[in-house]
Amino acid sequence: MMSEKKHILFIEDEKRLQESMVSALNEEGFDAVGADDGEMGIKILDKKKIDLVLLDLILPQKDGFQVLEYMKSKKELENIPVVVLSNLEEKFDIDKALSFGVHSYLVKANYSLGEIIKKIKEILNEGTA
Amino acid sequence: MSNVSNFFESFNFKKYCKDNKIKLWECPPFIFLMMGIVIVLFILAAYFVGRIYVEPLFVVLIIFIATVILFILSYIIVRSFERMAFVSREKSEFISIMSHQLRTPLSAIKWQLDLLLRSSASLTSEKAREAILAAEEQNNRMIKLANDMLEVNRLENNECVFEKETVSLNSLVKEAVDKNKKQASLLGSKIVFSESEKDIKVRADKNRLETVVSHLLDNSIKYGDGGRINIFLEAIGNKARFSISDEGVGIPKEDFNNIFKKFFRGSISRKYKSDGLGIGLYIAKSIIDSFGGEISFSSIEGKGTTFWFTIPISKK
Repeated sequence: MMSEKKHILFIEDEKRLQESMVSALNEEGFDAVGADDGEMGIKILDKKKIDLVLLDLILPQKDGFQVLEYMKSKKELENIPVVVLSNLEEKFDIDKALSFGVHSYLVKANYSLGEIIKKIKEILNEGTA
Repeated sequence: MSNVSNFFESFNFKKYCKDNKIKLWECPPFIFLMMGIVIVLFILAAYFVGRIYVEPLFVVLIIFIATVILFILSYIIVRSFERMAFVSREKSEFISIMSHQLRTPLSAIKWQLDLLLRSSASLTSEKAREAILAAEEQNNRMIKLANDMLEVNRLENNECVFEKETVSLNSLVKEAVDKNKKQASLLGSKIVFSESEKDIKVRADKNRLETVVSHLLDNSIKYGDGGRINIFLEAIGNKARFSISDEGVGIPKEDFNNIFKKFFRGSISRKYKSDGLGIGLYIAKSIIDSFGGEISFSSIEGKGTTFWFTIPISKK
């Protein structure tokens, strides 16, 4: 068990995907919260302490790249690890996301909830090690 | 042997055009052949004219005419290659969009099943049912996507078989409204259907008419911003007129000319919803056109949109 709950934000407009991930993360002992679009995600980032961001790229209002841009421009947000969870697999999108310094780029359809949670734990352990 | 037959096969321009869905005068191998023929003909013409008329002006004139014709043919070839490059780019963009659109419901099903497997012991039967319903909903979404794509392909290749039957438009719209009421209320919208006093009957393919109404309804719910959705059905002369208005985000003026184009997604729709292939209105227009009807819209950005269509009323 983790000594202190880690806070995870999942920015994803597909309600079903958001709900299942948030629910699985909460079951695993994290404090997970969902945002339906980029703008809402930014608001949560500004208000709440977040340890890791799961980010979709195609989003209404502000897309994933705009969220990354915003995070880069803010000192207190720039070091939060970001895992991109997208179904885009074009080299252009992957390169663009990686250029913002995201930790990992995962294609949603290729990963189970368990695999993603394992990845999250690894990243958070890296941070505390 | 096969090389020889392949060589002769390459001269079968009719087959080439049919396979690539292009017109003969847009077919590069055919135009190259024409260029060759033009060059040979003009060399012969220059030779014979030069023998009769000794003034160089005639030869210059022949070369000038040949150059103009070759220039025109080259221009057609360049345009043709440009069009092919555009089609190829469009195709790869389509594959990219399509795979993304298919992966989204597939991921949702995968994760819902994961959730069921991971928490099967602790999950209440209500939660489990919810997860199964969510997977079913995503499965239906994928089926709809595949059906829409097949319909686009059939419409483009004129392979649609339209069943003609007498359809009560009032009942058809009522059923569509009932089916979509739940989804509308989830997004805070209320659908109000004002139907004609007399039942309006049309001769049409019922399934395809349902497709049109459901695409228009779906758009109004999606982009209606939770406002009221008004549907009117009336008979005007020998035509039935269906109209649907929402109080939503509207359509920007710069998107007006493209709204019925295949795979077009307006700037507003991309801003508000990330899913959607941009084929619903293309399908709706193709179907209404084939019924001999008319479809159009009016919209004010930020205030709402009205889509309407008319189709002939059945005389029987």
